[in-house]
Amino acid sequence: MENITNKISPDENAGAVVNACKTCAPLGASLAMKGIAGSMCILHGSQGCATYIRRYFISHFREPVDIASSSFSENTAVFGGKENLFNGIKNIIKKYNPKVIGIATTCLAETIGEDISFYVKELEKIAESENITFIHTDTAAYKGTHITGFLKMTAAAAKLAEPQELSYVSDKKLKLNIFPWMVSPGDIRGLKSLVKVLGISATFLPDYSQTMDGGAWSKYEAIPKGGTTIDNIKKMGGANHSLEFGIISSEACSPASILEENCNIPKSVLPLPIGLRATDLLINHLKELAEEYGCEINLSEELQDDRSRLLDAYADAHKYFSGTKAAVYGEADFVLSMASYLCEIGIEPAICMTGEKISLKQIEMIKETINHFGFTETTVLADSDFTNLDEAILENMPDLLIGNSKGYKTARKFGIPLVRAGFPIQDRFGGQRLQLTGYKGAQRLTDEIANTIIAKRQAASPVGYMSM
Amino acid sequence: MADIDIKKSENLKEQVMDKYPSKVLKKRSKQVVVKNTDPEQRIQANVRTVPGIITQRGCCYAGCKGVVLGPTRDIINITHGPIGCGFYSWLTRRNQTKPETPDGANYMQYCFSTDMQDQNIVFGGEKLLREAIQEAYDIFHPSAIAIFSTCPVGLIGDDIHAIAKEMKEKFGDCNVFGFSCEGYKGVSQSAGHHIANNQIFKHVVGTSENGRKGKFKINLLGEYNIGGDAFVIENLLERCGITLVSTFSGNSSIEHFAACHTADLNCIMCHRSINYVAEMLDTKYGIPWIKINFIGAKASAKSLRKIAAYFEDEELTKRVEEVIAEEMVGVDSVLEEIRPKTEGKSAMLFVGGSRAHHYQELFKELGMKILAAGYEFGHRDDYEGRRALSTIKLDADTRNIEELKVEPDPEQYNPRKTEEEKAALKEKGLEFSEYEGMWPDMPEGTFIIDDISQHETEKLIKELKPDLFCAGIKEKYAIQKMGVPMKQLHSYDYGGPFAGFAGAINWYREIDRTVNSKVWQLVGAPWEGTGKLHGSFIKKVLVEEEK
Repeated sequence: MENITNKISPDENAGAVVNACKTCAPLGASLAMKGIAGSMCILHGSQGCATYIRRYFISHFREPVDIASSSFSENTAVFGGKENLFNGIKNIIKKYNPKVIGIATTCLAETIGEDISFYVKELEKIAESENITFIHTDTAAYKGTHITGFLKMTAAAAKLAEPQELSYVSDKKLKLNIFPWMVSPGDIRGLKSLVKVLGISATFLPDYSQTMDGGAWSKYEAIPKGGTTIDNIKKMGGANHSLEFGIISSEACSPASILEENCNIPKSVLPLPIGLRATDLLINHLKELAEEYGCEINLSEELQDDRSRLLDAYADAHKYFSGTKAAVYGEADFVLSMASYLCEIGIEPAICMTGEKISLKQIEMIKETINHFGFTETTVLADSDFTNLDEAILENMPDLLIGNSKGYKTARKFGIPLVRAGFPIQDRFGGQRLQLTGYKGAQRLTDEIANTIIAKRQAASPVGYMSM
Repeated sequence: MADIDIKKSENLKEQVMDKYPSKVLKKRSKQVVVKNTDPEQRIQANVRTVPGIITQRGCCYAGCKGVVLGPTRDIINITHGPIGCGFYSWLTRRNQTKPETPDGANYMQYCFSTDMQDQNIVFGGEKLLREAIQEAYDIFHPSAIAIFSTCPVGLIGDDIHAIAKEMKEKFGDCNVFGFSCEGYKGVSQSAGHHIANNQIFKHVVGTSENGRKGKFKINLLGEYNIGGDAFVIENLLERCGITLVSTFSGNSSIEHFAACHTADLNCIMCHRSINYVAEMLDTKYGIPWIKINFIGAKASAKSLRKIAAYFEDEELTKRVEEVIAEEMVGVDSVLEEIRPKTEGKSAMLFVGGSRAHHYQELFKELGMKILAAGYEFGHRDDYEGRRALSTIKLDADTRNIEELKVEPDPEQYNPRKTEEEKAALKEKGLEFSEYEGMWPDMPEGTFIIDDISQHETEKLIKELKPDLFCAGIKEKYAIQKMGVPMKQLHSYDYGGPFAGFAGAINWYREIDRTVNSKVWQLVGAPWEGTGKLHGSFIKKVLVEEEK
């Protein structure tokens, strides 16, 4: 049975997706809401959506994750969901006393034509009497993927930003808005400390670095602490500049462009800073921005040391990487940046696969990025699933797989080691803390990849060796 | 742990309810019950979830595709809908399977979805579904393909049953059938169980006479092989000389379902999810059912004895007793070691439609007390026993779930026991078509709570301070953050098996590890004045400091 996949070709794959490499928009929207302080999220539709998504988050983040549902019944599906939604909101307020409520629709609500903007007046009334901010977006799963939902909810939150005077720039600190894309809590923490070291004042949207990776509680917390406050979101309208990660996803939905339109704040879009070059690009850009806005930036020794240690790690392990091939899969932006990082350490990203539908131009860009390093045989698969990946592997066998836990079946089938990165990581601990970005993220990743390659060789060696 | 009695618990209930708006209060107060002395005491269950309350319940699709059909290895399950539903139910329930031959079909690691897009919602998804079925057939040539409808499918009106019929006729050698299990149907995953039962009964049961042969043939209903439970039970039955014709649906194959009507007794583990099939098999083929429970060493022994009693065979009875005696040696020795460490500790269980009852057996064996229990998607009969059936009012949500009309099969109806024989066995203590629910096992003053909410969980833990809380992964981390050890009873925290005697031993050790873990002592740093310092090396430092 394991050999059947070689009979499938992508052209014949129009009917079914077999083992998908993407999930649905409400998941992304819910995660984005978790990055807003004092917030609760309600999914408007069948309760299964909230339950499935909670279950999925919890097994990755290993944190309590409350997501409410308007719990449609068959009658609601026929007569409309307004009553359920408002009952749900009332009950959330009573139980959680949230400062913010995020509403994301599901397929069910969207298919019967429920539009949250119909209810704006009623929501405004509640907002006023209960002192609550509502953020809402439409996230039917038949449009886009989890990344779409994540960015749409982020963009909806960005609409709260208010244009304001740059009166507080006198301290010569660069004021940035950072849209970090759907990275891990560990990544957000890393990026926050990076900008802190540089002496930049940044508002991250969203910021679930604490809410989705918190500590033990001394008392029960209905809503975990952390997240970007509404006040700070409003003040995003007074920043010098917005920075957005994810050059592919931002073409479909760009939260930073909301600030550009509403508050006249210029934006730049950068690839996810995975690896030395992508991090260099980020820091260099920050330096240029600081210069442009007449601000100071502290390119500290600490930062230079981190960079230098990373280079050292690359040098130490380069012989293990050279001649090695990897298959990378996940969201398109993740794949792009991961492939670029692999190239710079000398591993050939032989197969790049994403479940997202991206344009031919974007596929070409991924290819060019890789070609630039002299690797010309790369297969880039978009709108693909794990059977497509398996098929590509049969054609061009890699030494390593890099991606989320969903690739384990493939790893096991071909006996290829899997380096876990991205979302979801459900068969290992620490997915929520996994840092890929910045010099430190690349440092950790480099060690892990090298050790994975060594472990495989060690196990296969007839003599074994214990010292290098 | 606090002592509980009826009065104290009633007071606590009042405090818990205090937070609710009046409408919610009215509803929840019927679903949160303090067990008292009234033999007619009732609970409200299987009613709609209050929107906005964080429920642990899933949807109809989850119950149908995920729970009942998920563990069957050789049916290709195609989720007809957008990508999320299929993705979330892909290998998340940890049921295991073992094909009879190394190259036997096993599609459990595959997740087929039609991945509906915008245009399919607007113009219909029937063409897409046909293509997906064709593709699955072309690649795998499976003996069966099942289609599961998600929310939008029911709304746009794709006729999955007509397509199933059409494709089945087209293929000729592949059974294709559909499940209208849209997520909004019913009030929880329970509706999905019922729909799954119906369709399997309609399209599969009775289509093969090639069942396993043997003298004592049974079906095991409502055992889903989480963590390998079914493997343990299969081994036990085999050693006793009992032939397992089919399991619904742990480690199962569609062939087993097709021939399940050739068995002579149905044994029900999870009453909630599968009693429909048992009832229908009784009516159509004359196979009686009994309730058994393989969770707990004593319960496993009792269940094996019940099966032996049914067949009224001396040799079988002897073999069953031998197997029980062999197994109890290991059980007793482990229990002797562990019970002193668990005796007197307390637990709460909120899970499933039967596990919150079954697992009480294992806690009794460890000398632990149950403070509160309840189901996520149970009905009144799972709490109060089947005596409740006559007084359950059919509400709109339940009425919408098809109730199959089944009649005795003109050719195959063959009552395995006459009414007289059944009455005689009943005299000896073997009850047919009977389940008493968790009620008789719950001591007075304990809480019985249906579809417990996050708020109620938090209050109960705070006030009753249990030594252990059992539920699912959704509750796990909130409970642990409150400093209470937690054991998952859905996925077993990736452990198990816990069924049978071998499973009981695993459980005793697991609970010892959990309730006696040292990690909880580290909560609070010493400089906060709350932590305690342990260990001889620390003592040495402290002593030297004092000097």
